[in-house]
Amino acid sequence: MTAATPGEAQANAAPVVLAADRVSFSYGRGAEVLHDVSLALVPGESVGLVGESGAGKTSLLRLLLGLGAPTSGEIRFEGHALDRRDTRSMLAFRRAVQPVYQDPFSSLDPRMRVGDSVAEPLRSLGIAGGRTERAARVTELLESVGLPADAAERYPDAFSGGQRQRIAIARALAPEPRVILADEPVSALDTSVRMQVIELFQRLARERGIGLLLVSHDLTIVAALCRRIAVLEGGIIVEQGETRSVLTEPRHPYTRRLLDSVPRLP
Amino acid sequence: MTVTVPTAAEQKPAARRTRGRTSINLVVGGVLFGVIVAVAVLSLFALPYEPSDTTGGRLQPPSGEHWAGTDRLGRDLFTQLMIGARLAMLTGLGSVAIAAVVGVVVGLVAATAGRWIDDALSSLLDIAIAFPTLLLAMLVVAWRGASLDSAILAIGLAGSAVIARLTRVTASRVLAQEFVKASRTSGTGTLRLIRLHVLPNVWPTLIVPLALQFGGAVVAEASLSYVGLGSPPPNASWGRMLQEAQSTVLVAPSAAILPGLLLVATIIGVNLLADGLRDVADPAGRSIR
Amino acid sequence: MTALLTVNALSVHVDGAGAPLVDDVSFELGEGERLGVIGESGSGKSLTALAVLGLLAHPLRASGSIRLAADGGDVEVVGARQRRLDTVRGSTVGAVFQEPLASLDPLMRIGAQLAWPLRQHRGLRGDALRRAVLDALADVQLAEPERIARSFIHEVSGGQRQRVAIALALAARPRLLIADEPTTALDVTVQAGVLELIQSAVAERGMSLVFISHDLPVVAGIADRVVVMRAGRVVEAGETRQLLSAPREGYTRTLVAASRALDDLLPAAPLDGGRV
Repeated sequence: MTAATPGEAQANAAPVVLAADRVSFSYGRGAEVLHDVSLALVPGESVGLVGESGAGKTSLLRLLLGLGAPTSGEIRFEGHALDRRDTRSMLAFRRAVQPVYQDPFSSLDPRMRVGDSVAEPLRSLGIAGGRTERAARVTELLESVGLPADAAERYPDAFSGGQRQRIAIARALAPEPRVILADEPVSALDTSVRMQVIELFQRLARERGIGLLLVSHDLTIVAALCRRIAVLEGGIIVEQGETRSVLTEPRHPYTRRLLDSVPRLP
Repeated sequence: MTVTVPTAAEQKPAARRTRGRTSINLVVGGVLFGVIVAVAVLSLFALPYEPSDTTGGRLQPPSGEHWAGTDRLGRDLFTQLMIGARLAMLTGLGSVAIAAVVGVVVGLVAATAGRWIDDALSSLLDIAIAFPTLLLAMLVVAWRGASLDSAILAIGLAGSAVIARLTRVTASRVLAQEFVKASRTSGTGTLRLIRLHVLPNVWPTLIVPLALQFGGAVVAEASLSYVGLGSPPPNASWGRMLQEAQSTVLVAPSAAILPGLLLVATIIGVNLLADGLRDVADPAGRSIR
Repeated sequence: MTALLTVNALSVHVDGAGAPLVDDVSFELGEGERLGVIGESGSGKSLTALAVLGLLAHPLRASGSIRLAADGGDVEVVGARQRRLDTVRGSTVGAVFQEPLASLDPLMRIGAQLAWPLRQHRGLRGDALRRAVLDALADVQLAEPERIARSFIHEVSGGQRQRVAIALALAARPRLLIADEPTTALDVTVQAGVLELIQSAVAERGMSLVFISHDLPVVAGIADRVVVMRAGRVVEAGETRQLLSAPREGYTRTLVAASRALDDLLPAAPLDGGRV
């Protein structure tokens, strides 16, 4: 019922890459949409952030992506408070923290070749320099998400939702991030494809030691992917802990209600 | 776990809309417009007669010597029509260029700047759009004197308001897309973001209105010349030819009909071309809705 | 059981173009029966629903047969005139779609929108009409029906909107409700409430239901029988339990396995331990 302190997460041996430390946030003078939220991400561990519309998931994600500053509290990156005006540390931050968005039809520029979309972080962050080097990297990235190399030459409209999401994941992987923040990455996909993309995330997290924050309204997806879970309701983390124990013995009534609402197979 | 290979369920059927009309629009528009451009270009190098050559006899009907006849001063009408084509193309290109540059810049500023600037610019644009082109043109002429440059500037500025508003709306829509967020979080700066994502996605929406403006500009210049506010003599604009032919239309109808026909052909040509071009620029309907 | 809806060899084409979007689909729906139609995007399930409602717009064209048992005798929907369809829609078939905002008029107060079909089909006027509007809203378990009736659609929440849409669909007391992904856009907890509402509304009125969804667990919870569609065709049809426990076709097996795999990730009986 209490929000977990960062200390609880830091008990893990791995160093915390990205953390929200007692973060509150409100738009202008409006009511708080996040209140005293703490959350920590370590390499190789997946955390599920569960909540429904209006719970503050999107706002928290914006802050964690450095696209806004908290009203109080801190976003901490590698142990230091994130300073959005410090261009050099922001560059390192952008390399280390990459997003994957929900809608695979909106997350790729329809007028850009897939290869250019995947290479964009490399160019914008000044990573792989030469054209051939970049092309090789793009090929490797596309293959690592299970797409053929010639996908680079095509435009997004040649791909299905699931394939587009793979492309978006390849783009996120391009700068070799340490943390990926995924906003409902499979909820727009058909059931049969959903499982495959989940497996892709699992494999990437394991093989590359990437920390994953999976924002979702869907407990099932979180159960599939995340060792830890945080339940957000009305801007407050009402419950946080090991996914297995939270789901088998939910302590907060809201968690229970969420679980109860999931349509189940008879 | 092994590499997950996309299954058949993930393959998208390659259903594409066929656009049978595309090629026809493009071809007819291209031919009409192309002929006029060719004539305009040719007029730079070769003219059948000197524009001020009045030796042809007055109000002659079309003949082997004077393909389009002569006007009441005895000048060759075909020569004037060729020069008119050049002026029309100049007006169209110049004013569309001004409208595009000014409009796109203002629209992008409005779309990317804060709410205050956006509101202020949007109100200004509303006023500018409500302002009649010809009135604006008269103001510019009063300020700079009657010339082709004044006409082009006035028509271009008048057109830029619509382009600016269209750019703002489309750019805002593009900026709200997730790929823009993704681009920002990959460290792409605003200017690069505009070049990489916004302009390519805004451009297709602008092609058709800009082409329409090209046609509109040619008509506007003709109107200005008709009332004496366009390019001064001896530059024969189609509008001035129409005006001059007006009093003798019953005696020498070709002097009025031919410039009119060319005006219509130009406008139809450029509009068809625009339609065709849009389909080519957006073959799979990649537009952001 | 008499058939309320008989779809026979239904195909939907784009006018003058190649492959059908819905291809040779047949099924029957008895009085009081609840049928689930499940399929992924592009399976043709929503087009089938639109065809049954006679709502296919140019250039889409249906062929085959869709017979509805209306009060004044059977109606053939395919090729029927709009006038004829108007007498069927509302009174025989009601529909709820994924996006309630799209099916409700943004410029009309909710009460006024509800009043129209009540007037039209039940001949209510004045006080009786006003009461019927409030009853209709209360029937879909909207608290404060007076306030909702006075509101515009954008002034109420997503779940409330869908409840209003359901009230509207039920207003003319249709014998068949067609629900096309009615909970897909809703939060899980809200979805649970709306599903319950649809279930109870259909049961209380003895209506038939066609429930269309991409979500197998949702369909399984509400339908007696399921039709599985893919790429415009019916892959398999059968009793829900039968289909879940022993799917015959490869595609259905994959679908059931994927849903089962996701379902198994959650504790089997999450609340038994928690509640006690």
